[in-house]
Amino acid sequence: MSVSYTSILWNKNKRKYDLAVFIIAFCFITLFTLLNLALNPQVTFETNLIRSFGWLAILLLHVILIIGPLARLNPSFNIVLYNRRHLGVTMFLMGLIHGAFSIMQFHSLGDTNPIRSVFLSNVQYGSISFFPFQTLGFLGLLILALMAASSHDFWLKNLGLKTWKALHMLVYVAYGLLIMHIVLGALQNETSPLIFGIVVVGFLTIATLHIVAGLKENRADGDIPASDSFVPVCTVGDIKEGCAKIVSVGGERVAIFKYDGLLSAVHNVCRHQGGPLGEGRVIDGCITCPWHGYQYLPGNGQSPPPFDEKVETYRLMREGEQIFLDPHPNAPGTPVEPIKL
Amino acid sequence: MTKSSNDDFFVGWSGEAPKRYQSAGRKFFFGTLIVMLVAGILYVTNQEPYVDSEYEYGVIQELTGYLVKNPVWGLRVQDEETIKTIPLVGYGKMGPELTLSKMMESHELTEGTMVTLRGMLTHFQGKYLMELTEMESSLVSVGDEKMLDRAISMKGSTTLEGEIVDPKCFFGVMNPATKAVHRSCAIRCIAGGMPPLLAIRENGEFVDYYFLHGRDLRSINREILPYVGIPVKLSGQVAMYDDWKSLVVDLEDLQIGLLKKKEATLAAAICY
Repeated sequence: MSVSYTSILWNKNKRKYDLAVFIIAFCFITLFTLLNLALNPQVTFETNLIRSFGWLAILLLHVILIIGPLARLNPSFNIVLYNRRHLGVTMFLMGLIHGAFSIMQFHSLGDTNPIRSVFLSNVQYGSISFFPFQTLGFLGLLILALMAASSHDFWLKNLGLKTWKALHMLVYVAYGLLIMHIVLGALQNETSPLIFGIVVVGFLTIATLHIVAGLKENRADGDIPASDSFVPVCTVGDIKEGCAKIVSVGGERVAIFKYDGLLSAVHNVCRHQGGPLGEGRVIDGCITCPWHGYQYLPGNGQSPPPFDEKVETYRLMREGEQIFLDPHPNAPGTPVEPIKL
Repeated sequence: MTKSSNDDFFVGWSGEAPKRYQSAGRKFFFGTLIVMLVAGILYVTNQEPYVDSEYEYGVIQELTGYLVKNPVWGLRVQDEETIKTIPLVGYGKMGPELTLSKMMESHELTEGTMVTLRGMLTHFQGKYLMELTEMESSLVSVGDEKMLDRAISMKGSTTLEGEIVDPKCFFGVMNPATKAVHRSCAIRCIAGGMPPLLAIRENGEFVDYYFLHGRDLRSINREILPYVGIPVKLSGQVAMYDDWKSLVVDLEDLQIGLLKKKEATLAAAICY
């Protein structure tokens, strides 16, 4: 968290993360190139570069898409979620090298503009076998460029969470475009089922993890129908000290925190990137988001000064062990007297 | 914000991670590294083999021979006992016509004139092409000798199945230079004036090549663009010029692998 916008707030953890990303990229390109040169001395510099950076980028995109559901299934993986944006920007740059060299190689020094050539050299848009697959890669890369350019918190703040999140959910559209780019392009030149298998396994891994994480979340939610009055949601014993119980009432997720002999309820969605506040902890008297450590005071849903993020608060009631929640949210940042235990 | 005092919860901005998070991070790092390297190895070891073509990039060579127009513009050279025609191609994705017409105009060259040209060579299976890398400056000298009659043998009609490629990329500038990954590039090169070439493959190996022409050896570069880089079946008259073959095709008879007619029409309407 930072009051002002700096390019990157470095800390030991971020440095280790970026070093790990560099090691992965460096080892991949080095091994790919050396092995390719050893087995295929005829390979041209451009072909090796296009293929190695293309495969590196698509594999990194798989890693990025795996991190989200993996962290939902096992919160210990939040450590790799925290700096995922660095991984995203790296993946985009690797994809950009692949794309830029491909356009230079296949479309430049001709009788027309290279970008026009990408879209109008092969125009069999109605065919599957001969579809101009490079256009799919170009559009996928364009989406990744928008995401990389808007990845900083400056854009998150200025675009608003909904717009920013919608923009960044386009990563799934980019993934679809890029998988089709590979299937209709690179794979058309290959005969080995193993290479096709790598793409299928990658897709199935991402799809399976998303489905399993979604099912787990839905099972945990057990939605309670909305009501005009207080509804029973859980018991005091359901909540660990310093933690929260997430309940879903009328489709809205609410996090009920137990801390220092008190109970408070806030909306479950962090104002920063939509992280699940209910999976966070109360640290130093503040609800702390598990994704990026954004903090809110449990009694009023406001980030402590000088920060200005606010989440909706909810009224609670207790009868013995049973906790009741008023499903109507208060405006973000509205103080609500915590329930004493 | 103060640093987390909770040993079981990770706060990214604190810079320190509890042990179980560090352990998960290490597992993720090594797991990712291994999976990615294995995927890379599997791809490299299972990709389609590259052909043995070569582009002698950066090596400018001088060759002396007679300027010939058919089956495509080339330099007819004597290599020990063998006479070879080395087709000429332009710089980038352009044919040689513009460069040659400037040379011919400024030096009053005609077909059959002895010239010395310089440029970079591409070669595959003993067949060579020369790129006029320095454009008009590729003409080093003009000789006094004129080529004697050149034997052209007609080989009759035939039907062939293959892939239309651009010869410059195919003979070495790019590797691979066929099928889907190279299709747009081949279209761009042929649109730029590179002579279209039908490459015949048998049992996975390229075995024969035919420069394509329309009737009276006219250029069919524009008409043939929608059929580049896909399986095609062509019928026509074969002629042999030194070590190169030409196939004179009737475009009406063109049969295209899987290409639908409406797609070809769309292609022609939009781009060509």
